[in-house]
Amino acid sequence: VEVPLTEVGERVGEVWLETAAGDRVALSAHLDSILVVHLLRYYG
Amino acid sequence: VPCLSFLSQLREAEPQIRALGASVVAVATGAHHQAQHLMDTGMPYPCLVDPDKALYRELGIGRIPLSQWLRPTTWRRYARTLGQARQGRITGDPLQAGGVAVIDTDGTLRYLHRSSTLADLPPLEEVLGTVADVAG
Repeated sequence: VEVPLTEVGERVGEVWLETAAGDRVALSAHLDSILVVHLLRYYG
Repeated sequence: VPCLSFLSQLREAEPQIRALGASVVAVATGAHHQAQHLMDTGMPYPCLVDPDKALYRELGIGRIPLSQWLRPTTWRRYARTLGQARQGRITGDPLQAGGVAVIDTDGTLRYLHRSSTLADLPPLEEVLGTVADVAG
């Protein structure tokens, strides 16, 4: 089990992801509203 | 399959989620073309890719341990989701655990469910309730 870095009540650090087109995008770019993030095990 | 099943639940709840002033993104370790395929086939939310597992590490979501794979309850949960979503070719890390997070507009983590095994996902009502509380 990995050590959790962020717990409820704490700020999520800047995380960079990729769009389906392969462009880098910051998670914070989606925070113009409350954000529900579904982390899937994998796409498939 | 369980992950896609939960994503379908989120899709069906889109009007309710939007009414609460919230939005959804999906994140996975799999291939970019599979993320695009989901969006091309009706997923109304951005499907993003996390090849380095940066967000998984940030939220402390690790891999599913072997002990969980061997538990009958794991496979009973998995079996319950069969038929709700079709399994495609597996890309990314099949051992990676999933989860659900709710993040406020200032970046504060308001809710986090770390899946401990296959099909370990929270009730949708629990997630929507948290969104309603944050929006409140």
